[in-house]
Amino acid sequence: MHVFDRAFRLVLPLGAIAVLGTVLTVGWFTQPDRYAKGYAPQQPIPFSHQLHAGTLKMSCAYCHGGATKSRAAGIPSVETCMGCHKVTKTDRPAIQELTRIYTSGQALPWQRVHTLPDHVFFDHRPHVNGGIACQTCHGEVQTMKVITREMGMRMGSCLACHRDPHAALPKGSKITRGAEHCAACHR
Amino acid sequence: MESKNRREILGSVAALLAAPLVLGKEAVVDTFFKTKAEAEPEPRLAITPPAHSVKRRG
Amino acid sequence: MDKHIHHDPNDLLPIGTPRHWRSLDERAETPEARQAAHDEFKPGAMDPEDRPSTNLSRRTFLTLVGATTALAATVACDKKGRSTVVPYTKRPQEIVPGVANHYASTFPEGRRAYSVLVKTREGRPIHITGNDEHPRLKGKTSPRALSDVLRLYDPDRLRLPKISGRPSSWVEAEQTLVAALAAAKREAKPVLLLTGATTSPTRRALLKELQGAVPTLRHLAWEPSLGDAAQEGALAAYGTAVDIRPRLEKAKVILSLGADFLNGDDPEAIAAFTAKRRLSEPVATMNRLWVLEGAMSLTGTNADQRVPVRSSRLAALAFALAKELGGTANVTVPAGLPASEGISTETWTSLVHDLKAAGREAVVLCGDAMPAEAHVAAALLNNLLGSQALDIRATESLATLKDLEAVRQDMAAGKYAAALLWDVNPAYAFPKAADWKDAFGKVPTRAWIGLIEDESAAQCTLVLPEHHWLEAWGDYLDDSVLTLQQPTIGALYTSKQGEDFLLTLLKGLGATKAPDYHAYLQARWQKEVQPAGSFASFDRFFQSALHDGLVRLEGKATTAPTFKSTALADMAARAFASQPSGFELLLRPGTQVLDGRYANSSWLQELPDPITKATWGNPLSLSVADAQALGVKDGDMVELEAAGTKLRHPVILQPGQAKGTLALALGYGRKTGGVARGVGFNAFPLLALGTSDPNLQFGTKLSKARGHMDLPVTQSHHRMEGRDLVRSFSLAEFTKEAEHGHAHIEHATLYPEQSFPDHKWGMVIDLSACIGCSACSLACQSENNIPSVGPDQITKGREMHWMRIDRYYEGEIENPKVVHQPMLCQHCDAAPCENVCPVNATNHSPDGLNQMAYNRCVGTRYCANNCPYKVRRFNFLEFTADKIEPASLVYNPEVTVRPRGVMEKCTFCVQRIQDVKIRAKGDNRPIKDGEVQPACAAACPSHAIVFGDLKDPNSEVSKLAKSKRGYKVLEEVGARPAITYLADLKNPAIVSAHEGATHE
Repeated sequence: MHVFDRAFRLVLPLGAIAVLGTVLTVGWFTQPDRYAKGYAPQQPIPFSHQLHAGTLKMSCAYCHGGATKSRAAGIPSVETCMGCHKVTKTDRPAIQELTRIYTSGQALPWQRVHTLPDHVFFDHRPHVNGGIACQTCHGEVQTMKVITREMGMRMGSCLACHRDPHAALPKGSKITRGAEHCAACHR
Repeated sequence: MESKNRREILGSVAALLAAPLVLGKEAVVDTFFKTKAEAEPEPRLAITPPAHSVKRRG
Repeated sequence: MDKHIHHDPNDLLPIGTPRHWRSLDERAETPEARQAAHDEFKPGAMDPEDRPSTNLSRRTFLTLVGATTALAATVACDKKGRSTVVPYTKRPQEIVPGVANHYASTFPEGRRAYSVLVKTREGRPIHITGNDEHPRLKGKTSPRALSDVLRLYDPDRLRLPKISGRPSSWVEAEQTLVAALAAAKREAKPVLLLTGATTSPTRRALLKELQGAVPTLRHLAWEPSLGDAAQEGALAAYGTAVDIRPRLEKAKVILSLGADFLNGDDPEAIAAFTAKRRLSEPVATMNRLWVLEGAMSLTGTNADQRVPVRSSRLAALAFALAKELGGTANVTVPAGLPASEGISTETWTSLVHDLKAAGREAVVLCGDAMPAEAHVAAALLNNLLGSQALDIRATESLATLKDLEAVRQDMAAGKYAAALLWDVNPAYAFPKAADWKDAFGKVPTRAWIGLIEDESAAQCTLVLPEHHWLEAWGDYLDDSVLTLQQPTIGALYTSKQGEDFLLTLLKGLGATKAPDYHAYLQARWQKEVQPAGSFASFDRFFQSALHDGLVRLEGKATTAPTFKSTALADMAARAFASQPSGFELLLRPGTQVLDGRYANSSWLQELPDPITKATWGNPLSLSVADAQALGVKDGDMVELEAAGTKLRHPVILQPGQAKGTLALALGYGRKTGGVARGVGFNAFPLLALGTSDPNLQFGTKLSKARGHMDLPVTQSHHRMEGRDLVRSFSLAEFTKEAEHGHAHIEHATLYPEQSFPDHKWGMVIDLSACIGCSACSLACQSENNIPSVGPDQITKGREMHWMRIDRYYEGEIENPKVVHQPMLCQHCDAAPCENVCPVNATNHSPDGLNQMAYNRCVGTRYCANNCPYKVRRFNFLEFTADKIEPASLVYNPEVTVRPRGVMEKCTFCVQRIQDVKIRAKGDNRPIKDGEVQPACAAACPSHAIVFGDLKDPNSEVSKLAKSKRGYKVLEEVGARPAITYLADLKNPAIVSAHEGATHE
């Protein structure tokens, strides 16, 4: 056997493994965190859902009212926060920072926890109108000091529930399945 | 004859390993260097709703 | 030759089916045509972006591809970077992110104003439709109105006032101009104010005040697209300039003398005309449209009976008709008419008979660009017939080219102290542009206010940015309906609306106290518009008016101007005078770009001309006979000699155009604007200055020149191959047809039957109602983020319109019957595209839609190959380079912006379907019929497109689908399309004209 042939029998498989290894490693390390379960980034203002939604028992819809009207539930405007915090806890540094942002008209960039890729057009309305509790997908938010992503937002998780939504729906709901056709979410 | 085959195979292997770098050079650059656009972001237009207009209900 | 295309076309056709052909090559059935028809993708369509050849062999290419997918996969993933979500700091009350707001406003265009509804998302206008509250428009509007949301975000918009080329401020500009005006007033020197026409009572009031404050102000209102001849004719016939509005609901017989009333500019006329044409039973209550014209117009394509006649001879024929109707005692019609114009006795007698029989239910309309004598003759005919089917209203005169020439001479003599140009472009549109520029340059203070710096702005010292109409206030009067214009977005740049600028000038001259035009408008409305004795406060009244977008004024019956016969003899003499030999060149405003003001809109440049299907340019139209005599084909260059200039120009052959005539669109050949620059040729210099009808040039010489240009046309890219894609019958034929019926072909299928549990969406398109205006195409582009690709890509067949209008010719080349067919994804139940996708990116939904998942598509294009309707569009390149502001602001956030390598097609506006479904579910009610309106159906002025649930037997679409005129395109292929077309019906007077069946 020619020396080249022997070399090839070694080089080619090794090369293939090297390429595969590179792909997997690079892929692993470049996977965006924000699609992974357990993602809990630091927020610019240390807002605690445990305090507001838990202890104070504020309704989700008070701040995230878009969920019944629009595809996006929305993040409350700083003005909404100031509705109470013009007078509440104004001694706290976090509130003072919030007030500073409000009066200067600057933007407040929250770290986005629940996000889907651009090719997904998720609509909150049928879920909320169907009676599904926010906690079903977003976890027990009222216990979270820092918002943590509970659901691995892959299409599989969505489809699993769409195919058998009984557990997520309120008692007496007439809904048997969620949409399974592509155009419901991808357009 | 044999050397011709070997040359072809060598060429294929070389192409296989070099191709990602040639065709994917933008990809390599992006992974290791920050793109210029991040350094100088375009100033965004301010979208303000009209002051005295009346919209349709709903 | 390939055996597959050598079938006998008649094998596939049921007996009596008309045979249509799409282009002249196909008609001639040249070997080239057959070969070209075989290729879906023209040579070069699949070439990568034009790079020099790299000698890449297929094998090497595949090797490289295999390797790159590996690395590409890793980088295609998102980076590790975080993403942020930024709410409003202070949320504007009316905006709920994700929910669209609608504002009523008005789109002004010269002498017309269109009441529209503007859809905004997160504060940005993204889509325009007609205002449903308007009593006559009923939610419809013109194609250009639909397209103009794009110009709001035009990156070429002027953003800041400039003085002598350097950025400045409004204050400085206004101070400069006020000083100039005050000086002019002191020295009693004239000041020029050149604007477009307007129908705004408030703007007129403001201009009057300005005139009072500056007595030497010379205001000229000029519309380059309207031409001078119509006004001259109106003055001769009525003693005043007039606005003629057809009321076609009252018309049984319509005679058009080169009048293109169906071109989309008048949605009311289109609706009224087509309402009488969609018959389920063959009854003779259908109206009849006679068209006598030189160049083919959209109205001509919809004619029941069309006669190609040179534009210059229309007046003579009209006078001859008048004679037959018993008028014109003092006019002698030369012997020989009408036979000397090639009109048979049979045709003539039918026309006369039709007009006589219809009487006051007949109407004669004359095209704007036609000579004055034709307008007078038309007025005479309407007078003789006692026609009820039109409204004639006196209106203000506009400036003519003669007026402008007089001003030019005065400017050259140094008489003018200052000049202000507002929304006009004389350096481009005035025929002797060089002379104009010379004279204009002599005026000491030159100001310009407009949207995008143009040829005229280049000469001005003060160059000022104007609001787009979507950012501005206004009101417009249209026959007892006063429509309002309100801002739908806060101004994007440091611009002002023209009226506000004039107000500050007035303030500077000490002549007014109004703070701004909004206040000025309200003041006038409070005084003059709110009905006396109204119980509501003015605020309530005005807010209600803004909500609706209009108020209806109590009918102050204006007396229509009466016809005057004083000028008849003169006009008739002119009509009968002989014309010089040579070609007759008709210069008419571009269908898309009008007088050039829209040349920077890529949507309009890319919209195919409804007849020639040419895009991005204005080829010279000539008749097929003339072309053959000259030895030229589509795209060949000719030398045109007219108006003392010679120019080289590409031609396009036009079946149905009268021999000895040429037609050229105005509005191209702009020198400014990123999109407009260099597209087409400026035809304004060819206007016949100094004659009574500048739009008609006589004695034009034409000769074949060297060179050829690949015209970017969308027309020949898809052939018919002898199948009956469009069915069009005369009433007589249809009676026969309806008796025998047409066997519906439904093949058996290997695939399991689909079940549609809840809804099955379907569509009916009535070809009798479709006039070909292409509003549907533009609405679809706006709603679905469809990119424009540019002329080079169009020559490769890569146009991206999901909805296109196919135009077919049938019969004689000299005078063919023309039909239009909107073609879009048919959402076939047994879709040939779904089976062949290797990655299952396209499949069928349980409600009858053919779905397309862009994220799955890898771009094999097998689906497009398999589609028998050729409605799938592939992103060969990164066409949406407009991903940066401001151009990206026009995108609809509900629809993906597709990248390179992805297939796309009509989705039946699935985003709208989903939205309605979810809302209905939320309200716990079923979906109402007509609640889901795809963009195309909503935009169609003749209601030709009907969409709905085929599972609901009471829905309009289900009922229409059962019509005797109904058929499916390419039924024999077995794809089971969800769209039913209703055959086109024509009502010719002479039954043998355009008769289908087995033509030669």
